[in-house]
Amino acid sequence: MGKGKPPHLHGALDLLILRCLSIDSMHGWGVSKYIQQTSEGVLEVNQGSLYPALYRLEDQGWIRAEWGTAPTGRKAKIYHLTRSGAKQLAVEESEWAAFSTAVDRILAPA
Amino acid sequence: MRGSVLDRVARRLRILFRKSQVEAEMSEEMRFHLEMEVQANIQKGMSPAQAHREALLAFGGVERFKERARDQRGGRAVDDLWLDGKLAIRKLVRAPGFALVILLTLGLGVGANTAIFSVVSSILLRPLPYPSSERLVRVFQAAPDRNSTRGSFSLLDGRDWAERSTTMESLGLYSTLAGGLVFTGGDEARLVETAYVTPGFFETLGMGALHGRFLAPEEEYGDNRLLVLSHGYWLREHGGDPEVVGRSLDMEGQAYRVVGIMPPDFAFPGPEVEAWTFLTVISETSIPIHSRGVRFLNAIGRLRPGTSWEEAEAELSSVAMGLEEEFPEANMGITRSALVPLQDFMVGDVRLALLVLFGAVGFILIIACANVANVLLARGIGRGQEMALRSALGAGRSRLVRQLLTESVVLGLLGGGVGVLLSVVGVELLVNGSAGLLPRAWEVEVQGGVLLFALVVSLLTGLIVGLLPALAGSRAGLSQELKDGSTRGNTATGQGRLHQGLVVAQVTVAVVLLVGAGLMVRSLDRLRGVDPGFESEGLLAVSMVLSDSRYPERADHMGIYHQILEGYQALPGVEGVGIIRYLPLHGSGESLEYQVLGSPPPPQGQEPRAWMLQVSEDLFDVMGIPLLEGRSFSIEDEPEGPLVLVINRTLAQTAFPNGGAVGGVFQVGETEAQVIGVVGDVHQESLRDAPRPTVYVYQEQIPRIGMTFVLRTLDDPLQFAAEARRVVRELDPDQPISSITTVEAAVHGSTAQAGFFAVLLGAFASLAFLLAAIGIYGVVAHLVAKQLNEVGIRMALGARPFEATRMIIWGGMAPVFPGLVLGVILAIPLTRLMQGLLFSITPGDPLSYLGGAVLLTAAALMATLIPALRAMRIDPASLLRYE
Repeated sequence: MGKGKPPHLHGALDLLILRCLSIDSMHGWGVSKYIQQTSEGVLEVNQGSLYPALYRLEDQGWIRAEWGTAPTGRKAKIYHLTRSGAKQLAVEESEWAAFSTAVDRILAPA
Repeated sequence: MRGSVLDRVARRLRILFRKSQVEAEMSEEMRFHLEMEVQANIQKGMSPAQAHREALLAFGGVERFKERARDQRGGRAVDDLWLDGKLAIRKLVRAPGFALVILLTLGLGVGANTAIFSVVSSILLRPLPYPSSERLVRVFQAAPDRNSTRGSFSLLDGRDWAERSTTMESLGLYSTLAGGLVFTGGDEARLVETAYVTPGFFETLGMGALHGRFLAPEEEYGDNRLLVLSHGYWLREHGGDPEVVGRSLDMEGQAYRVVGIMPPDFAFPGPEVEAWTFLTVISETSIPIHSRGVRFLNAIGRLRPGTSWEEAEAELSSVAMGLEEEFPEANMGITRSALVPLQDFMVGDVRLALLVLFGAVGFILIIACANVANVLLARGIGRGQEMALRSALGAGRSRLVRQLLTESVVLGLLGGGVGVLLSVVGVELLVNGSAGLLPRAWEVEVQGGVLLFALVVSLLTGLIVGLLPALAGSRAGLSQELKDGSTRGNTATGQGRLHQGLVVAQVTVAVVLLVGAGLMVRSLDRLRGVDPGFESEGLLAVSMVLSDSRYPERADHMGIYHQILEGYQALPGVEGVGIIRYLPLHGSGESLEYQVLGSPPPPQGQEPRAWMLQVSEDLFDVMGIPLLEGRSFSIEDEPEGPLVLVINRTLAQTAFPNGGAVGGVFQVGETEAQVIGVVGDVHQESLRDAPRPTVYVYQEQIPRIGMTFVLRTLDDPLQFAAEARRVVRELDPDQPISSITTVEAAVHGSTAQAGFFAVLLGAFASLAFLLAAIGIYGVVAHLVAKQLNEVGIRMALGARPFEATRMIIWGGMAPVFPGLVLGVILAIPLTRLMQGLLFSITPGDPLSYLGGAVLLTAAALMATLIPALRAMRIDPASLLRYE
């Protein structure tokens, strides 16, 4: 169940999705491929986590969904970043930066 | 920043109402993803089949994932509720027997509560229909030294109080004692129930007329034959024609002009009043209304805004004292006023009884809920598989509980719907059945606030009823259920304890109700057993009020009375005829001050008072009132001769404690009167109250224009009613008879209100009793069914059937005993609250407790016996075969 996940992974997924959509609007499959490819295979998002996250972000109003046509010509649901989503992205990016800095500090040789 | 609230709401609504579309979209999205995945796999070099398989594997369980996705989508809670609701209804439709029993049980519980709540809210809670009715009060004169706290007014006193008071905005006087006006303008003379009022009456109540206007102060004298009609009378007799206003009606040969019609809510002093007219039309010969000492009027007042009634009471007391100084002979001793808020005055009597009934139906609901909870618990076992499946599909415990609760809330709401329908019928029956016993009964209706109450009660019922079973059902050994698929693997003791607990609760509540009802019934029995002081059987009472315009002089009254008397005596089958001013148990009467000649005069303002009643010479004989000393009146006691009196035993003991009542002399005002006889005490006011000192005067000497003829008949008195009317009609066709009844009915009628409440409480107790018995039966039958295997094994092992039966009976009765004990313990303080309703019975009356306990034990025993006996007849072999 999504609710049982440790919070920061949750947050990271949101961040990644928002980042992805800030570059270009795309459908769910596209988002998962982008994350996989851009991370050079390190991060693989499984569909069971992706779509719930997409729906949650949509419910929060940070992304918007529209039915359009994929490059293949097939009908697909395309997600766009909203203005409030862009703001949220900035917030999450700075939070992530603060988080990773803090972890680095702890892990740094004494 | 979050998205706008409107967007969110729009999205949630869309999810709710465009459900299928939203679901289709989600499926479409999944399908798309899958296809892309398949394509990617093919490009990696897999065969189409392999690509497909790999894609599906990567995808994971679709449904499970859809659930999680839906979870995140928002609007889930409402969505689920809707789904569960529809599912619950579908389940009910598929199990109509089950649904019927549950809905009926809940319906009875909610319905009874709603019906009584309607009555309570309309009568006790809702303010009177007059503007600012919280400022309306009943006003009384009080003479504390004489122990008089609710004294009536005279016209002059009332007017002075109204004028001189600074705390009262207005004060109105009214009376119905002068009898009604007789409508003589039609084919038959018809008595119109009339209230005689001062102009302040309408002003105080403050409700405007529907058509026309009400009586104005300037019209009180002179051309004052004016009428205001009630709404009911206007509809009945004039077909609701507004043109009636301004027309004249012929009343007793005189023209009375109709000036207004009141709205339907206006029913003061009661719904029986059909017309209002000026007090001042009453002629002085029938009642000397302009004498300050003649007090027969009731008073209502409206407090000035911001004045408390204590302030007003104090201020009016000073007005009273001022009048006492100015008019010492008439007003001596009247130094205080007493105010009672009008609503309290009207409904105060029934408040306790209604609240007791409200408590009773609350108890019924508890029992009904326990029954339904037991059924749901029992059924919960059979659904273990379903719950386990849902759990495997991803539903958490809270989700399961929510589903089960939704089902029970749906049951509650549907049961509530049934209940509301039942309550509408119930209220109709109550109001009609109470026929004048309940004040403000005509205002009772099932409306807004009551329906809201029903809704809340239904919801709460559903939740309460479902909570236990939901918690139990969602916890039930889930994996265990799926594995062995049988329905009996549950911890019997755990479930059994819950069942027993509910039965204890039911028995406790049922006992309290039975005890309460027992007390009321015993009290009623005691009340009805009171000896009224006369023989009530075989007597017909015919009451009439002579019109003072047609019979202005005393000689005229007596003339017609004699003629009627002779006419009645001549009727075959009539053994004797007497005349009395007011029938006993009538409630009203005149009183006078007296003084025993030769005894020291009492201090001013403390003169003893006694009731005064006019009678004919045969009355004591006809009514079977025993003559204890001396003699009764006879025709030798001349109308203008010395005044003679017959007194009752109570008065004799008070005034002549050392005996010698006969021959004693009373001083009444200026006149001296000699006591010629003493009769037994009669309950004149009510069976409840002790008889008061009473003086009987000879009607020939002090006549009144309103009297009641009492006929002793050989057969059923009512058979003579038509003849009684005929005699009067032949003598004076325009003289209406105000009532004909048997004395027995009048006596019975005096306990009617107590009887009404006792019957209702008894009915509720019976219902509770029945529900509890059914509940116990259900639980025992269910537990027996579950334990059948164990029973079968025991019997196969050699245990005698009797053993098994004993075990079952013992098990079934086990919760009943603690229930009885708890019930008795609870009943003790609760029945104390009923004290005000009981007559000559203490709340601790052991017979009622014993009766209740015995009844319930007997019922429980029977309820347990039936399944037990059935178990006995079981063939152990067939039982074990099903394993």
